[in-house]
Formats: sequence, C-alpha cells, structure tokens
Amino acid sequence: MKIHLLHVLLIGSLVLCTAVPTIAESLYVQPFKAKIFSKPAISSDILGTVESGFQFSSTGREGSWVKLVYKGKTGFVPSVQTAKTPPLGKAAAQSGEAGPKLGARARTSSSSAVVAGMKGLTYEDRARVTKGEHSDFGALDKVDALKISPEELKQFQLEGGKP
Amino acid sequence: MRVLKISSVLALWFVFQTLTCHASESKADDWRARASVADRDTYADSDTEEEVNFGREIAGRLLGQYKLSTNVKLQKYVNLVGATLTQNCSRPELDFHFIVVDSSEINAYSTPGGYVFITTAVLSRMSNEAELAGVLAHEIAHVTERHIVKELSLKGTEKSAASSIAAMIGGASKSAEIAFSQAVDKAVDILLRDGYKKEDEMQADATAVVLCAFSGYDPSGLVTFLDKIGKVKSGVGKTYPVYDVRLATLQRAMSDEGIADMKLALNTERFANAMKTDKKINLNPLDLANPIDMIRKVIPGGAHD
Amino acid sequence: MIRTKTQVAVLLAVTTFAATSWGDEFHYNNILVGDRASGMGGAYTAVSDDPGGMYYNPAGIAYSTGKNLSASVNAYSVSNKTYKGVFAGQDWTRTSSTLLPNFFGIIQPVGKIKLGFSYAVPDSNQEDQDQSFTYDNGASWGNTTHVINFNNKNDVNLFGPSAAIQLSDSFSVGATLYAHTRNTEAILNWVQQSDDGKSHNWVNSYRETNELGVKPIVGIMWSPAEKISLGLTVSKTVILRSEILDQANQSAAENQTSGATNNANIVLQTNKSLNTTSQKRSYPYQVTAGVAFFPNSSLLISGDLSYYSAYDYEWVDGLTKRTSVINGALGAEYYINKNWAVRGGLFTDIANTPDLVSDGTYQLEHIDMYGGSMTVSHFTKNTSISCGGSYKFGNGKSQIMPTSPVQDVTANNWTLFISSSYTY
Repeated sequence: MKIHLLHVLLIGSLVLCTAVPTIAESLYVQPFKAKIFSKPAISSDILGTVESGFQFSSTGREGSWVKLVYKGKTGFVPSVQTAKTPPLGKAAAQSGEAGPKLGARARTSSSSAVVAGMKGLTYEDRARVTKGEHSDFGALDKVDALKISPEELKQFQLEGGKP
Repeated sequence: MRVLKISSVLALWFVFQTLTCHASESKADDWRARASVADRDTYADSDTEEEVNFGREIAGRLLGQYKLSTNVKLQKYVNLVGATLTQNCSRPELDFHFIVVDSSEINAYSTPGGYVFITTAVLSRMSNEAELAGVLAHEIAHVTERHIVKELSLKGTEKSAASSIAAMIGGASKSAEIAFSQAVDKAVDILLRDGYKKEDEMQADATAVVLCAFSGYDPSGLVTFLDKIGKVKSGVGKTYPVYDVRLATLQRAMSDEGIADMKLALNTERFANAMKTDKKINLNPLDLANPIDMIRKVIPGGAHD
Repeated sequence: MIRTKTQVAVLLAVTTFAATSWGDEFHYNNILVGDRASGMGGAYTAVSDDPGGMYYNPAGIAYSTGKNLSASVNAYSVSNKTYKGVFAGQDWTRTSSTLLPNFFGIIQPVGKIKLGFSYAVPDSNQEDQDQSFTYDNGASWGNTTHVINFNNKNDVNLFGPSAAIQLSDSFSVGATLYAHTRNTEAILNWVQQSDDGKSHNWVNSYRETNELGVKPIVGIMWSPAEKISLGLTVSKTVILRSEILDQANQSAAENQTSGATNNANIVLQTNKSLNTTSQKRSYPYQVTAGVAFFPNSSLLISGDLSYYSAYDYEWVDGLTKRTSVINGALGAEYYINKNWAVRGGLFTDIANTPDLVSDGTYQLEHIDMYGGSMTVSHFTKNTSISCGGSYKFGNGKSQIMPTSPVQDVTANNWTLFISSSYTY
C-alpha cells in the first residue's frame, strides 16, 4: 500500500515538473520599418522591408542577428529590432497632441494625476515629496510642444547623406 | 517488488529531470524566482504610460537644474537628427524628445520614456553630425534597453479588478505614492551622480553604433567623439566609465557587427551650419519667456499648435 | 452524601479553577502567519524571500525580488473546544472566533541591505462559553439551575524592523527585532440557583494580563547547491514588563429559609479586591531548521522542523512548567501558470504542557493538534491575491476543574485567509 502511494507521488511530481510550459521563439519586429538582410551584416543585400509588428518564427541566431525565412529565402534581422511581444501602443500619458488641450500648468498637473503613484498629489505637493528639489515643468511643456512633422523629417534626411 | 523497481527508476528520472530541465534559466539565483515573476520581464501599455510619466517627472527635475537652451534652431536640428535615429529604434511606442541645455558640463542624459538631454558643451566639442548621432543613439539605447526601468523595477499600475482588491486589502496606494517619489530620486541619482552600470553603458554603445549605421550615419561618430573627450578628461561629466576599456569594447562590437569599416554620412557641413546659427540668432529677450511662440516666429511652419 | 461532598469541592475549587486554565499559550502554532507561508503550512524558513520571511527567517528577505514589496493578510479564525463530561455529565464547549489583521510587512532595499518592517499576530483568540443547564445538586439543593458565562481574550502582537544582507551568492544573514505585546482578559461568571430558591452559589473571576517584551529573531540562509536552500533561525521572547490584575468574588448560601431575617446558612463569602502583581512569564528558545527545494520555476517544496525548549517560571498560580516541543511542517507551492498558483501544507501543533496523570490536580490541558492548509493565488504583474484556509484538530486531556477527574477534550480550528501582496 505504501509502495503504491510512493508510486503515485513520484508520477505526480514528474507530471508537475515536466508540465511547465515552454514558449516557442516567435518574434515581432519593433521599429516602424525594418530591413531584412540577406546576410548577418548591414552591408549585405536587402531582401525587403517589413513594418512594425511583423511576426515571424526565428530559425536560429547568428551573433546579434536573428535568422528567419523571408519570401522563401533565409534572411536576417538585428535582434535589437525584435522582441518576443508585439510592439506596444503609442504612449497615452503624453501631454501634447494626445492629451487634453489645457494651459501649461493645468496640463502638467493633469498628466501627473495619471501617474498612479502620484494620485491625489497637487502640483505643490510634489515639490515636497521629491525632496523639495526644484523642477521646471513649464520648460518641459515647451519641450513637449516641439514637434517634427514627417515632411520635415523626410526633407532633412534627403539633404543628409553627405561626408 | 516490481512496483518498487519501477518506483526507483522513476525516482531517478525525477531527480534527473528536476536538475536538468529548465537549465537554461539558471543564472546565479534565478532558481529562486517563481513563475509569477515571468510577467516582470514583459511590458504592457500601462507600463509605457507609467514610464513616460516617470520620465517626465525626471525631465522636469533636470530642467530645474539645467537651463533649456533658447537656441530654437539648434533644438530643432538636434530633434531632426534624433528623429532620424528613433525611426529605426526598437520602441516605436515612445515619442522621443531631444533637449539642448546650456551647460559647461560635457554630458548627455536620457530619462525613461524618451527625454534625451545634451549640453551645449558637448555640442561645441563635436565635429560632425555623425558624432552627434552617436551620442544621441547611445542615450536612445539607454531608453530602448530600459536600463533605468529595469534598475528600479518600474512598472505601470494595473487597473484590473484583482489589483484593486489587492489595494483594498493591502492599503497599498499610499505606499505606491512614496515608492514612485523615491524611484524618481533614485533615477536622478543614477543620471547625475552614480552613473549606469558598466555593462549598461557597454550595451548602450553597442546598440548605438548599430542604430547609427541603420539610420545612415557613420558608426565611427561615437568612437571619434568618445576618443576626443577621453583625451580631455578634466571637464568630463563623472558618469562615463573609463574610456580606454570602453573604446576597445566598442570597437570590438563594431567589427563583430561588420560595421567597423562602413563609410556612411558625416554631414559635417550641415552640423557646422546648425552650430553656427547659435551665435547668429539674436533673440529678443521678451521672446525668451515663451519659446513656443518664438518657434513659430523663427521657423515658419516649424512648430505645431 | 457523596454528592454533597462533590458539591462542596466544586464550590471551593471554583475560584482557583479559572486561574490555571485561562489563555491559550499551550501551543506555538496558533495561527499561521504570512501570505505564502500560511498556505504552505508555515514551512517557510528556507524560502522566506518575501515580507512574510521577516517572521520566519529574516535572512531570506535578502533574496526578495522586486524593489519594494508589501504584503498583508487578513484572517478569520474559528476554534471549538469540547471538554467531555466536565461536570454533571455535561460537555463544556468553548468557541472562539476572531477576524484579525494577521500580517503586514514591507521590504525595501537600501544599498546592499534589505530593510523591512512587519507586524504579525501569531496568536489571537476570543473564547466564549455560554451554557445553562439543570442538575440535581443533591443534599439540601435539589434540582439546581447552572448558568456559566466565560469569556477569554488573548492577543499577541509583534511589530518591528528587519534587516538582511547577502554575504555571498549562496549565503545571507538577517535579523528581526520584534516588540512583543500580549494582552489577555478573562471573565468567568458562574451562577447556581436551586429551583426551590433557597440555595445559591455565585462565582465571578476576572484576570487581565498585559506584558511587553522583545523577540529577537536571527537567521541564516545558505544554498549548498543550486535549487536547494537551507534556513536556520533562533529566537526567544524576553518579557521586560508585566502586569497581572486578578480579582475573584464568591458568594454562596445553602438552605436559606424563605422569609428568614438573615442568611444563617451562608457557607462562603469572599470579596477580594483587585490584586496586582508583576510576575513575568517566560518563553522558550525556538530553533527552526528548514530545507527548500526549487526544482523549477513552477514548483517549490519545503519542510521545517522547530524545536522549543522546556522552561518553567513562577506565576501567580505557582510554578508553571512547560515541556520541550518539536513541531514539523511540510509545504509545497505549484504554479499552474504564471497567473495562478496553489499551495498546500501539513503541520503539527504540539502542546507544551506535560502529559496529564490520572491522580494529579491543577493540571494544564494537553492537546496535540495536526493540520493542513491550502491557498490559491492569482497573480497579476505587480500584485497577488491569495485565498485559502487551514484546518487543524486534536484530541487530548484536560482537568478543567482542578480537583475533579481528568476529562477528554477535542479541539479544532479553521482559519480563512485573504491576503494580497504588492511590488513596486
């Protein structure tokens, strides 16, 4: 009887130990656009460009490159541009475009109200809890207000590429 | 008796299994970590939200210590170089901001959430856009690799029913408030006083050169710049690791990536022009009070409402 | 005639009976403490890597993951004790139910040291006995109505700081310095009234104790091989200040003639004023050794063995003696996936009183208890909620009336836990 019990316990433990799930290496491309190279080198030919969120199963690694099969060919993506989870949504806590249109000060404190930890703290209270060190959220709002349009960026990049 | 034999075999297998399976996860003390902490290495939207808010808090603190440069054209230029890089970075969910501050200290900082600071002293020692891109990419890498986020175990607050119940039982909200505030203090200490961990700096360097190469900048920019300031150690911010070691590691990383000999853009002339305008634009002191308006005046169509 | 003798014995004994049996300090495992630990039957000395560890083995908190951690536990505990045939063929039943904050702890790293603060309630009960019955007291009493009201409150609170440091990858040390308070209050009210209205006996006893002390716990944790952890702790409670308030009143009259001008047949009347003493209770040395095995990230098995030394001390009721005790606990934790975990445990709760002998008097009750516990936890990224319970039971002997025969006693306790933990 005792032996049977031992038996059951052992099998039970075995099941417990081996039942731990193993996750297949499925990866997602992270940047807005990523190039797929024919070899693990930036200087190699480009097989194509994929967009953020492109999902693939890696077939191995070579140094800091992830190997994959792309359009029937072996391709490489730098592992720094990949992750095991899909790219995240745009951060919503930003002031600026995503946030409500309020005055500089109101916006500053409204964004801090989103911060879970700071809930209920007023703008003035914050100075107290952060060792009373001086912060300049007015200047930060000016920083947030500076935006680059896609056209400007495109133009800037076209002008570049010089020695 | 047979049962006993089978049991013995099973027992041996069990021991073997338990000692060998999941061997890949065993770093120094990883075997203590339970399955429930698996979530701690993955990130959700709520974490990004918290990270950005956290970063804003630190950025506000840094702007309290460093004066935002009033050279709007330079701010714009640095942001254009930065945006060229962040297009290729691994965290499209973040809006990066590049901030030039007036300081004689040679340093650059980045906060979680994507606020990248660079001092005018650093800019004045650079010779081309590739060097600027190298330094910015290094700071971007600290953000994309979540060095501070990981160091401080920064996480978003969940809004799930389970977490509200937990908060009710534990009365945790006040503790969370204090923890947030303490984390801000610690992050500021890392940036201004203690510095990142050495391996974080090395990782940021390696990621930076790849990012530069992807964005069309000569990856040697970071190397030439570090070499330059390594030789002028006096005024250098104290948070950079020893330069010789760092440069050697960086060069090894570049040859590993096959980008050591790539000849890409330096944009020397454009950089010189951007730096030159620094002295040319003589700002009306009244405008200084509201740089947003100033941006509209100086660069038509440049700023968004 | 025999019955009358018994009656007299009861009358006289009653004032002292209360004193010896009040308060449950006969066990060391009254309530399982902690969030994960309570689910694992308290087998936690070699695990201890969360706030609950400050109570079990402070060295363990050096291995806590996450930067800031807090945990709190609320428990609802119900106990039943039945003394068989105590008096007049009657079973006496005492029940206790309490809802209490069982544990709160927070850990924070300060440089290389992990600091923490915790609050634990390892013992709390509110016993009640409300009973009335009729019994033929014999002699001049005849049928007599008995009314017994007994209330006993007993709370132990521990609170204080902890610190731990990892001296190497596989070795850490830690200490907790708890302030210890124990407050007890017990009231016994026993009225006997003969149905003919001519005889009565009324006993009222009251005792309150307030003690303040310290309980240092020092611990080490060592990992001799990967996936194996050993823990060892030593602790002892030392009482610094103690106050005992005692009061007993008894009034009895037999065969009081109706309409009589005086109580000619009064047999006993006492009126003790409040008596204050300051004798200090002793507590044993506790040494606990634990071993834990972490085969993979989903399974954890641990076992503890605790030794409590024998001790004695002079108390208001005379010398009180306690024997040494060894308690064992076994626990397991299994993560079904990263969001759900189940824990189970088995434990013993052995009495620290000597075995009762049939011809003794004023003997303390001795009930060895055995129990199990189980909790289910739900994890989200930075919180966890656990629900579950423990059950223990035991049979033993007691001599609830100091000079009457020893009786059998059965006891059981179930406790429901709801707890949460947070990381920041």
